[in-house]
Amino acid sequence: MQNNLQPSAEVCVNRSAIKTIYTHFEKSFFKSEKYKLTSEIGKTSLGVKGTKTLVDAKTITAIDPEFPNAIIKLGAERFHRCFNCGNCTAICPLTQDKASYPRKLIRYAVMGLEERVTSSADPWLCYYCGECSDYCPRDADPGSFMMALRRLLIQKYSIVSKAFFNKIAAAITWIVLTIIAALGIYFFRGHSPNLETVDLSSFLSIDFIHDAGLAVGAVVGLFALLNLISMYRSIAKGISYSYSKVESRNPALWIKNFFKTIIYEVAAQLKYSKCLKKSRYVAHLALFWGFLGLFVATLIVFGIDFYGLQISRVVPFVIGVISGVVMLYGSIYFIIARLKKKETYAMYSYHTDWVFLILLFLAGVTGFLLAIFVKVNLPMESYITYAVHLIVVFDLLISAPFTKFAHAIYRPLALWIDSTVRESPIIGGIMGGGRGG
Amino acid sequence: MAKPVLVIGGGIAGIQASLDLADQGVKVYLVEKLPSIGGKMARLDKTFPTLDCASCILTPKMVSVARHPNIELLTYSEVVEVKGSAGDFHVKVLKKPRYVDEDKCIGCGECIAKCPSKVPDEFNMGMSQRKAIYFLFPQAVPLKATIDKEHCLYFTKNICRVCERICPTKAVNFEQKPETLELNVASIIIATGYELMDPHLAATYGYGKYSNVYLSLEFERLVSSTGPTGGEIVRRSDNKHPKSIAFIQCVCSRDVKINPNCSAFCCMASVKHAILAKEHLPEVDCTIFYMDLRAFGKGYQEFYNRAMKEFDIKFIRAKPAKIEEDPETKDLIITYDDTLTSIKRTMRVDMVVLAVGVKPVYPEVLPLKIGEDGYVCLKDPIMESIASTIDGIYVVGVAAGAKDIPDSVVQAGSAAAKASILAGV
Repeated sequence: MQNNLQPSAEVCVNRSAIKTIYTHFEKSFFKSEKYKLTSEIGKTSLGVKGTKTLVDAKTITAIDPEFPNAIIKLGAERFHRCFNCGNCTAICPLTQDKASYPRKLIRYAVMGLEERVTSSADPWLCYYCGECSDYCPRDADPGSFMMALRRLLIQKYSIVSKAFFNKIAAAITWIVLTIIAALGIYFFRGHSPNLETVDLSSFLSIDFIHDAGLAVGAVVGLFALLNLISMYRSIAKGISYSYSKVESRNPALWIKNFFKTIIYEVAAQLKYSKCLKKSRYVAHLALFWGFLGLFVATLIVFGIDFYGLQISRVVPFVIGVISGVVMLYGSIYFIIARLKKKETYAMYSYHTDWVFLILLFLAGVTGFLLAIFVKVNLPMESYITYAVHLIVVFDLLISAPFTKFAHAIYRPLALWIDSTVRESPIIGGIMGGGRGG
Repeated sequence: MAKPVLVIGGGIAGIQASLDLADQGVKVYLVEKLPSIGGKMARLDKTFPTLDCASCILTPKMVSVARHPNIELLTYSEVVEVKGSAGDFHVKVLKKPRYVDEDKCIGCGECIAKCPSKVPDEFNMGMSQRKAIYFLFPQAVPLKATIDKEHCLYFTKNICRVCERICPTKAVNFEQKPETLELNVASIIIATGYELMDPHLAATYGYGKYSNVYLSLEFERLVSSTGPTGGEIVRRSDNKHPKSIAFIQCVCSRDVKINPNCSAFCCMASVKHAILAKEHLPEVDCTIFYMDLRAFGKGYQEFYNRAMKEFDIKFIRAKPAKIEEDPETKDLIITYDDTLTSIKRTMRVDMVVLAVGVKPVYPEVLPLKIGEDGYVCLKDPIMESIASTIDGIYVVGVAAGAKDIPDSVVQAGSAAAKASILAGV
């Protein structure tokens, strides 16, 4: 932009010249290619009949023609083929009434209305059963589109997440994290590990594990909370477009639905069971409960060692073994599914899908190897496996709020908000109102 | 002296091509595999956009064909071999035996009345029954009885022979043999038309499973006074008039997984059906579920507007995903996403009519190059859109691409002009 607000001595400053310069300045500063001047359009009343949603010019014309490319890069290559027939939304077992995804979101995306797409909680309500993609007459693959949206939203909710999604940045990030973990273990290792018999605490002091665990837990917890807040703020922006009535004033409803979400959707994942074939539902439940069980087993061990918890060590050992098996089953099921590429959801795997599964699988495998090596008394092997296990678990946990793992907090929040705020709750049958899947 | 021309297919396009050639003095062999000419148009009740009675405008042409001195009508026949090149084709035609002597049969129908063997009537899309000896339809040209060998009790079980005894002119001849004719023609015009796509490919609509889901052609027969119910629109399940009918467009059309082509005339056909339904049952609620309502011809947009304004037919822009049936009432529940209001809904209707897509039919013996879209490759899709890649062979009507009746008739005339050049007129 030319800066000739300093006129030369010869040039006679005239009003129209200044006006032109100022308009040019204003246009480029406020990016008027994107936003039309408010005075030209004025305010209009949009929204579903019966609501008073005033949308001003900025929001109407906030079109970003590059937005669809961002989604294409995240693994949805064909959604622009959509010709808006509505077949996908109609066949989706989870949509009803005004919950008009995936079609509406595809329409917004094709039109470049980024804010309407990123302020929607709908991508988290989709379970990728793949029916929409199976029946799409244009083969636009709306299922992949919703999956790409989830990847996009993870990056949107937390700026740090971008480091895990761009292929090169992700490779660097994982390497750096692994090095940090390895260095941590190196610097805090015991100086005389017992090489005759396995004594894990001689390799790495149990205090170190405890303190490092607490530190990682605190960091992860903090970032998880920050990201949840970021997600809520993002959704709140979109409430005027997606929901016709905001019934969020009732705290009792919020509390009731919070517990309902935890029980029916986090614990039992009932929605998942409705629209998918049983084996996938079971495998995912296994992955979730396996991981949770291992976490609980670790907590119990901490409790015994540091907080005087009076339980036999057999309890966490048994929980750990069962959970480990269950989690291994889940991770192997999905790794095989993604290799076979037979089911719709498994046909295309982004690198974030693979990293998450492989880390879970490695955590399980190294855990079992460790238990075996300890049992048959192989000290060096045990210590090395222990170190690898810790590095894998560290990588998995520290990145959790920023990678695919984060769906574990985003989905429940979306389900909770949706059930409370939507006029006709999207989760029919279980959460009340409307028809179920 | 002009050489003869072969026209394969006795639908409206084949009929028109034959007449246009014959009127110029060219001899025409019109080969039709069914016992009568008339094609799909003979099954229609009315034609859009004028709502002309289809038979009333078709049958005079059919009769002209039968009477024309220059046209040799070879019905119940098929082309079995083609050799040669433009201007000099050697064709073998197999005349299948009707087991009825065409010279003796007077079309009185006594044999049909007495025949004990009943068969689902293909002309009425299986919704009524015909006999093993039959006319394709009452206005068949030629009006000669035909015995369906596969269902005739004499051929299958060696009993009966009632038709032989009853026939006043002794026309029934069970000893009739197939005849092979060898023809030498200058040009061949293919007007073999279309078949409906298999509606079971769109399994979510439940055709065949749910009794009140109909195909477009089935509804056409239902609405016709010559049809299985005499023009009464009644449901298969309970024989009652429907109070609401839904028409679903683009079934097995415009779907890359089934058939990517648009079948052109089904949007207009469904608008026509909805209007006819309103004319038969003024109280019925008609809703058409469309993706794009294709009103591509002269007078079509006005026809569509008329449907909305005058007949109060509802149009919903949505492709319904599935149909479910209420097991007690046999009513149908359609699930769709109304794309103009972005609200997902279900609609309960008494009857559903599926506008099923079409696929072209070609004689197997001809080495025609078929394109990726399933239609024959044309010499030049813009400037020579009826010439196949083989010189001297022309393709007209829906066989050359889904189109309506006016365009088929025009193409037929164009092919006749080109064929007559080869014939040496």
